[in-house]
Amino acid sequence: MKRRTQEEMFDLMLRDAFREDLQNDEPELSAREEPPVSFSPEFEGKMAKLIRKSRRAEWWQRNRGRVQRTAAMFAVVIMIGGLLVTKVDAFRVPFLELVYTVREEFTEINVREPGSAHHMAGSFDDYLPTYVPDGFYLDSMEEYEDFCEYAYTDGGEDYYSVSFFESVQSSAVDTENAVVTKKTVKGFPGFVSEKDGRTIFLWYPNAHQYIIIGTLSMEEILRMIDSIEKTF
Amino acid sequence: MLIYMTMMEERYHSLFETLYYAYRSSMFRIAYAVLHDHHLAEDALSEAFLNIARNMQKISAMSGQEREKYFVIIIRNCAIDIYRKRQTEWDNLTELETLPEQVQGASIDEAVFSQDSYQRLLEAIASLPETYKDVMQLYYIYDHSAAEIAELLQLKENTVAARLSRGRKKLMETLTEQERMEK
Repeated sequence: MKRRTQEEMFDLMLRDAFREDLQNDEPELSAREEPPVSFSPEFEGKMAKLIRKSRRAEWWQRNRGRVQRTAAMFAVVIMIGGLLVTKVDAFRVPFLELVYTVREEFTEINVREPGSAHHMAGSFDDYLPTYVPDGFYLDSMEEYEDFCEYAYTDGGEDYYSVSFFESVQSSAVDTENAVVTKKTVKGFPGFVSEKDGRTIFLWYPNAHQYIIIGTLSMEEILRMIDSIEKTF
Repeated sequence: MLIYMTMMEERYHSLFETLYYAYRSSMFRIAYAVLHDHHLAEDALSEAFLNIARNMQKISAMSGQEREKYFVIIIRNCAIDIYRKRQTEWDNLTELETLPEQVQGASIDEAVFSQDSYQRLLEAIASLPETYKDVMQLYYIYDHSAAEIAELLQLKENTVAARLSRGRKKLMETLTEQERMEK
């Protein structure tokens, strides 16, 4: 018993002593007094990726509750809406006819033939811009069966990503304090949102979808669209 | 909604990002002082920040001084780890690991914690080798377990336990030795 008490006392002393020693230590990190170090582009690229991950992780940690509550609210609204549609005749019949009608028309319009514009023919390479702005390089890529995403960086603070979807996805654009304009490119509709130095361009050529997000000007984005080899 | 969330995430400046830009140059210099190679120092720095990113929850609760010390311990040990992997022998580290136990005469039972003991303990800690001090600081100040310290410093858990034990005994030896001399 005595031995254990002595050990515990010594441990407590050590804890206090180490904390006091820390306060007495000279600072070894001087953030502002020395000239900054020049790092290689590879290192900056690696750290930019880590920073983006950390932003995502911390943002999610801070807002997880709010996002979950919002998602739960949407789920409740959809469930109630679904119940109303299926249970209440006044809603059900016209809604089902609408779906059925739309489905039929959709099928007729989108008959799959070889070379149909609505069916992706060839690899993603045909659909992606060949133009890359000066100073940028590919940072990461993800490819799936019906969509792909390529992220580029200049090794510093500028970046952009190009996402291509075989079919149109539901999208929402933040329009608060942003300038949002419609823009027709190569005869197909698009939307541009510019906010805080960041540009978002959504483009819909023949039931496909492009999303380009980044710190690029609209001129650079249009050059990228021009460089797509696929004819829609 | 997905695009809105992406925009919100990108606009958010994380604490990790703030700390990275504030300390990266100083930490690089610490690593360079050990490795004397720019690319190896960058490797140590990226490894250090990876470790920091994994422990951000703990780091966000630390005071400024605690945080700085924590970063110094991590970058120094990352640099040492890279150095050790590149050398077939690293004399100082090897020597410390095989130090014979010099503490037969020093036991907790014999220790009498007098009023001056605490002051002597502070002096002993100031002169403790960094190899022991880093591990003990992570244990006593930052409340890391031996397993967490092992992961952070890229050591085996047995090595961490050994350094903690030897560090305590080394400090106890210093305390009892000084008391015997005074008597």
